[in-house]
Amino acid sequence: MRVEYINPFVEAAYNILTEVLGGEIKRGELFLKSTSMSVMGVAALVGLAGDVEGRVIFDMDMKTAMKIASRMNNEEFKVFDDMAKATITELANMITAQAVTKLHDLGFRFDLTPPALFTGDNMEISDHEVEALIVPMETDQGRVEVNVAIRDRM
Amino acid sequence: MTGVDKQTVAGKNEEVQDNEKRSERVAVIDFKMVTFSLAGKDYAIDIMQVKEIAKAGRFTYVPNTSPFVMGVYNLRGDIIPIIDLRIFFNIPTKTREVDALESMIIINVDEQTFGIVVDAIDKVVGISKSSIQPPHPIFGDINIKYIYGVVENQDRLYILLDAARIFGSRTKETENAKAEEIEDKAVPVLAKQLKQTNDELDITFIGDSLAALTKFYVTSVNNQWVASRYRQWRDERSAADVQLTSEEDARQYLEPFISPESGVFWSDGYAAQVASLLPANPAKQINVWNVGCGKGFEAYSLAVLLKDKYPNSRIRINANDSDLLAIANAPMLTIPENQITSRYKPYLVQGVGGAWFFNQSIKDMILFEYHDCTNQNSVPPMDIIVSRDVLSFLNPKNQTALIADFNEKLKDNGIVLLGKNEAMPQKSGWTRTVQGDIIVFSKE
Repeated sequence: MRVEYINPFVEAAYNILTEVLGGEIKRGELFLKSTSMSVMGVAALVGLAGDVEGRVIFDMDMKTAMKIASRMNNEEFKVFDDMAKATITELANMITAQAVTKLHDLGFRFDLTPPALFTGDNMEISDHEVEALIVPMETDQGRVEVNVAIRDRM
Repeated sequence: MTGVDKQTVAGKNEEVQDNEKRSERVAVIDFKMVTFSLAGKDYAIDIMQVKEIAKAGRFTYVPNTSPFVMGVYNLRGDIIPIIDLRIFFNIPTKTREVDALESMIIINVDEQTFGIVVDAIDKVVGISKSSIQPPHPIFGDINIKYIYGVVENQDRLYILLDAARIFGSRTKETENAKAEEIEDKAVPVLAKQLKQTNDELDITFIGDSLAALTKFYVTSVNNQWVASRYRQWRDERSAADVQLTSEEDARQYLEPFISPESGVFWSDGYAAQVASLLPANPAKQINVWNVGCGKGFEAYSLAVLLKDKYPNSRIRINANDSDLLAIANAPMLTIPENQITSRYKPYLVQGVGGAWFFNQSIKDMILFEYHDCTNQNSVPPMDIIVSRDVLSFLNPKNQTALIADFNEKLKDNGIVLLGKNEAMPQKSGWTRTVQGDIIVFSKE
């Protein structure tokens, strides 16, 4: 992945999570992954198109998702209902949008698709021929992995 | 029900089954196979593929073939290759007497004739095709893809081999299998060396230490250098101190391995040497793949060199490294004042703080990517691949994969520049061109 793309995503994830969750956010070691990867339980996916092609996935387990949704809405959720789902989707949207804005300032032009949310157990994502950058974020609510796979159009 | 009743019922059942079996056996014998044994187990081959059975020995040895090829044999005027199935399948082999005659099955696959050597040939067995059962993955001795099925006949279990798969024309699968084999072979080769001399034993140990301490793997890419470095190392150190015991030792051992001009901008002399090895290329677009570019010195040096060499072409360098810290600053790399020569000068601009950067035309040539070359490489066809001191630090499997990738991504007139002390494995389809210290490889 192009070096210039990395920082905007890391910064955006850090900024937005700090803003909406409060508390201490710790960034884990970045790494690359290529084979199919398992999804922890809740995954929000935002597609990117334009100068680049790819997608960003926000991956967390159900417990973390519930806690984040509860924190962002200031109310306790007992089930992962529409409101909770919309909250996680919005979080994904906010982070990606900020990253894309930063990239826009650097001269890279691309658009996002509306986020899609996947929930379920034992899910796996396999995209062929794409290497993903994993940005692990430790929040008070649990671990959120930002999984960025984008490449320049050739 | 009484015990007697049970017995009669059981008896009747058996009778019925027996009758059924017999009628089945009589009804359809539509498949005949030649059976033989390997290490005490029964195997079979479809008789339609068998040309004849023979006993012979004293095959003519052919140098530089796979270990399972015993040699060639003159079968009434036809020269046929002889293959030892036991070695092919990694089944333990009995030590041979020198002039002993071997049992051979001569088979025909795709109009080619092979002789295969087995422990003993048994007989021809007729069965019904429908009784062949698919192989079960626990038949560990033999790779399952070579097994056609399993047949039971008169209380004996025969493993029916798929001769077409074993000897048939090379599919991609067998190519892959071959790559694995080559790796497997590397081990016995080492084992053989063990017996030869203490020096070679030491080298093997040093290879192991290097892999453990610095992730440097000794393979056909660099074994020549490791051996010659060992002789020098041995003369420098006392006899008791030859082995590498710490990372510091390993670093010292590897010090001369590192290619010249690593981690700095290439000097005019080195750049000129590299430039002289580049072929003339009138293409409008020249693609370059810089694997393991580190902090970016290599990529920028290449960019300046190529701009001078091919002024009329558009040059695009895909530079990648899996070290995030190193590559993160590559797009904004500064040039220390003392390394600026007249060759670099025209391509530099001075920033606000007085530091020198490369100008936009050079930056636009290079795409720095955080990428691990052992993952999927999605790059366009390349004219030049520069990968200095990268292969040696990948494990043997990844080395083989990356070399295969180079082969696939390199255009026919393209060249590969490896580290000073690295070489493509011999007889693998690469020709080398040497110029002073530098060797480049191109496709044969």
